[in-house]
Amino acid sequence: MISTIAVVLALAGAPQQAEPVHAPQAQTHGAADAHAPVATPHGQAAVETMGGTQEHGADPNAGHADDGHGGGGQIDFLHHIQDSREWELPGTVVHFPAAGSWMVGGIDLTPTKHTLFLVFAAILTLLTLIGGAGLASRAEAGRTRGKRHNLIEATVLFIRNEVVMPNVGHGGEKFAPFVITLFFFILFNNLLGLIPYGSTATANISVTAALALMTFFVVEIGGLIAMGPKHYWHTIWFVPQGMHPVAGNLMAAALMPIELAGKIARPFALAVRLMANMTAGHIVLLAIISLIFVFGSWAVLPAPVLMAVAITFLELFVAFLQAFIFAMLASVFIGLVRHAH
Amino acid sequence: MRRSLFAATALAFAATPLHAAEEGGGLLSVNPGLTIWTIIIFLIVLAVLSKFAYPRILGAVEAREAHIAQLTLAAERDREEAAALAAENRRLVEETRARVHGAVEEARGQAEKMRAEVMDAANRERQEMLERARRDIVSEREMALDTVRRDAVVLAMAAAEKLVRRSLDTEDNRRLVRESLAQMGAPAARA
Amino acid sequence: MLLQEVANGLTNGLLGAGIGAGLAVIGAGIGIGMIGRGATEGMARQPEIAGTIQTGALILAAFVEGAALFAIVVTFLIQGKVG
Repeated sequence: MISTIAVVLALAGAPQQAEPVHAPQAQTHGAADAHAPVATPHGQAAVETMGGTQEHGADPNAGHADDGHGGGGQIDFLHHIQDSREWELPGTVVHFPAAGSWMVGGIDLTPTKHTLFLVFAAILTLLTLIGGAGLASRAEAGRTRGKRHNLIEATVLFIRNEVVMPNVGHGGEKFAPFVITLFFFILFNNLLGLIPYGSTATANISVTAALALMTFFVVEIGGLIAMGPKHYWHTIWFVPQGMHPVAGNLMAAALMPIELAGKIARPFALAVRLMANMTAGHIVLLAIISLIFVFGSWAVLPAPVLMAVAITFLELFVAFLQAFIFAMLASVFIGLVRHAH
Repeated sequence: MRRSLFAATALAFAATPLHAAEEGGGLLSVNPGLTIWTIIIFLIVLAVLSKFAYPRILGAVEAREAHIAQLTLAAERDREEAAALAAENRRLVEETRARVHGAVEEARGQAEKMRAEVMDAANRERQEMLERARRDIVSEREMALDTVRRDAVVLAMAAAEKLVRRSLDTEDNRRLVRESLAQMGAPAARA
Repeated sequence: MLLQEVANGLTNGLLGAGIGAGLAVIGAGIGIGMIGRGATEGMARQPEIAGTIQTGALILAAFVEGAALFAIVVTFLIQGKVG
């Protein structure tokens, strides 16, 4: 997983950054370009770079590596993955309000494609779990109501009993709703990117940062409540027992930045991990599909398609795995602070 | 610890593109609006689910667990009941067998006794009959002897009468005869 | 001439970012590999606690991955600064 992420992140930046060097046909490609109207014929753009036959290059290019950026001459992987102000659907493009249309207190709250997909994921989460709850409350005593109820209940119970309780320990029930919601919300966000015309909001650092930030507050406030202010303060300002007060406080002062950095590193790791994993999978898919254009021939079509199918299945697994890991690490961190020192 | 330092460095780097990045910029550009949206949406989802979904899902689980526990308890109770019933049955069977055995023994004893009684009675009766027969024989013999004697007396009288008809038909003779007859009868009665 | 030098600088920066990413991956690969070896050996020795080992291995792998991700983020930021 990590290797794909690394290679691919390096790859991902490359087309954008390397463009001035590699594309002497003077295609300046930047932020402004990304929003240029879809005016330039895609076919021509693809042909220039790929050097393949026109018809072959054109059609898939329009389908897969959609180009909001006119005539970039390159498949812009990042444009496909990153947030955007337009959502391409078959035959139409949904345009979102321009940046800065909804300014609230100096913050741009304009909805974007990822905001929309967050809402989709939220709706799916609500439907799934409230549907499960409905089935649960209609179930007769001692029975479950069908496969769907079993599935939802088993997942919820698994997160509560196997993820939250062993890691948080005593009093973990209070954190179960948070972790279960995290799991399902992240899972549906991850999965939405795997359906055609979908987009993965969790491939956006803003989204994962928000999730990690909430986890951070839950972890720290949970720790504060569980340990009391005095003991919680010891997780930041740690004077070892039996040490001379002056020396101990000096050491605590020296260690404080590290303790604080450790506290901040945990949500940072959560955010970057989720974002990197989700981004990497999509870039790998696009890179494989772009092999078709690199070779510029229909003859190689089966290989990239088969590879892409395989990677898609891998991504399906990764979507579950990363949601699980996020939930798992969140509970581990909650437990760590509650039982620190 | 080293991880934390990494994090600090990375954070220092990450802070810079936060403002510099326009959309479509780097992969690490943070859009604060989207972050806020995420928090809002997530918190709404969490609140709604905490209100409507989890209590019901977990409640159903708990209800089922309670139901199963109750079933287990009932099964345990039934099992104990059944065991008690089985023990009771076994005890009853044992008791019945003992009683039947006793009854049979008793019956056999009674039969034995009855047989003995019957035999006894039969024996006694036979003995009695024998006794009676013997008495009858004795008395018959007495009577026969008596008759013989009487006949003998009558015959002797008749013969003697014939002989001494005329001479002995007096009072003296009669007395003589009676005396002699009494002498004859005494040893016979004694015999 | 100046432009040429700037271009060279850019390519060197990208090269550095790429090498950095590669090095981070080597470290993480070794780390996760060792976790995997330890986990599978542990599971083979004590299959009855395979679940616990697996969970622990996943968490540890996530930590190693996290460390590597920091490195990659740093290289990516360098690349962003250069480009």
